Amino acid sequence: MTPASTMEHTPTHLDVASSPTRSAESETPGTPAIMVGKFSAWYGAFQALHEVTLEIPARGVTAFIGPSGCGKSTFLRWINRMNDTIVSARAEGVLSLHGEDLLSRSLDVVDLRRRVGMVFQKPNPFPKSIFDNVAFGPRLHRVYSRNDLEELVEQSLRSAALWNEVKDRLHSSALGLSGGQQQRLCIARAIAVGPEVVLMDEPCSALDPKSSASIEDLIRDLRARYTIIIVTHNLQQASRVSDMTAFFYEGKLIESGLTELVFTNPSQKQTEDYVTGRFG
Amino acid sequence: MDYQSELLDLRRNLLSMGALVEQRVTRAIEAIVDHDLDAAQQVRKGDDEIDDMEVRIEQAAMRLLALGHPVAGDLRFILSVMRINSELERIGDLARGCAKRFMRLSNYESIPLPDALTDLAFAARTMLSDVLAALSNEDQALCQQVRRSDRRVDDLQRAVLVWAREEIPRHVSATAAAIEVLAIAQRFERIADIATNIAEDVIFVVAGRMVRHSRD
Repeated sequence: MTPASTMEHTPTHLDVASSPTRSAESETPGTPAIMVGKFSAWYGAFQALHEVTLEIPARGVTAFIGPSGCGKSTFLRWINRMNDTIVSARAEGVLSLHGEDLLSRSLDVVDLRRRVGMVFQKPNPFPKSIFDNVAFGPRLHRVYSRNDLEELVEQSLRSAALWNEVKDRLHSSALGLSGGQQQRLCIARAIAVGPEVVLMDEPCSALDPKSSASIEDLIRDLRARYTIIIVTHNLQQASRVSDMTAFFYEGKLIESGLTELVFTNPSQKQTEDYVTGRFG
Repeated sequence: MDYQSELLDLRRNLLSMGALVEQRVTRAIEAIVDHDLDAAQQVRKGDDEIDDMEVRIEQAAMRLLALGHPVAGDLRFILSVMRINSELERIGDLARGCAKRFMRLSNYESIPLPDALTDLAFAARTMLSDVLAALSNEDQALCQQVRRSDRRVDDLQRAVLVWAREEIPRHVSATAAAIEVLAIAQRFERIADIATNIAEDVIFVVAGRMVRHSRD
């Protein structure tokens, strides 16, 4: 573990330097990718997270569950420093990715976001072509060769199970795709830069059941290559797609462990009450 | 659906079915101990109510599984209800079998029943009563006691077998009656076995531990 550190909000600027420090392929499944120790976070005077300690295994799916306001999205946003844009946000404790301190002031946030991709609740394709959406990240990281880009775009779209549906209209607007296709495009865009971790914040909540099922299939396919963290209010979805589950309540990590155990025999009464729908 | 109320109803209905089955077993024992053929006839006839309850409970459990998406303790409870439900129905069948065999026994030459048979019947009934109380109170300690009692029932069944081995050569004309006694003993032993299975199901509901096939 890295030593505990503190971090105040520091404005950052995008920089196109590409410095891949570690490839997703080099991670061993099951070993911790992200270490969290006594991690607390605040928005001004409000403490959103209280001394969270957790290990997130590499190459697997970890689900964060808990009622609204429990701190799970706040925690997710600290993993790729999305909270940097919030002036009052600060955190302390240990938060590291493969031993690298994610709270360090000197961390290259642009490179971090290449290593830690994010997929949001609502699909948010850029108003560009399908091809340009996927090529956006690689171009930002200085991949300019047409051949390289074409290969990357195809690979990413194939990984996101979208290639067959869009290969004949790569240069059409991404906004013409269905909601489910747009969300898979956003996943393709996130993985095009070769991240180690993919964060998903309620990725299916705006989708119909069939599109949700296709995203869940995709998550299952991607788990062999990436460390995936999914925040979801859909407990059935968490139980279907994740290997590990962490339950948050009022900013505290109440319980974490194998999903199978959390959903069949949780150790804490609060977890039992939440997963059985008795509160939250 | 009102998930919590349906879950409560399921629990209530399973306990009611347990009480009905326990009553049926008690009536079968009374018939044997008091040589009461009317009571035996009642037990022999009255299986439909238990069968209907079994179907209703299974349908309610399936509905909760399909629509309520139960997890954790609720999931364990519903899965166990489905098993306990058919186990109770089976005990009802066995009580009917005891009554039928006793009625057949009364057609043969009268023989004094071995004490081990009545002891076995009462021991099996006690195990059933205890496990139903354990189910109602989520009492793991009582479940363990039920599991331990199974050994005594096995000993009593062996004692009935020893009795038959000695009785048949002594009174060859009572062979058919002795076979009926053995058949009744076997059914009570099965009731005790099933009570043990239910005790293991209750431990699974309460503690989430699968103790079947283990000595825990």
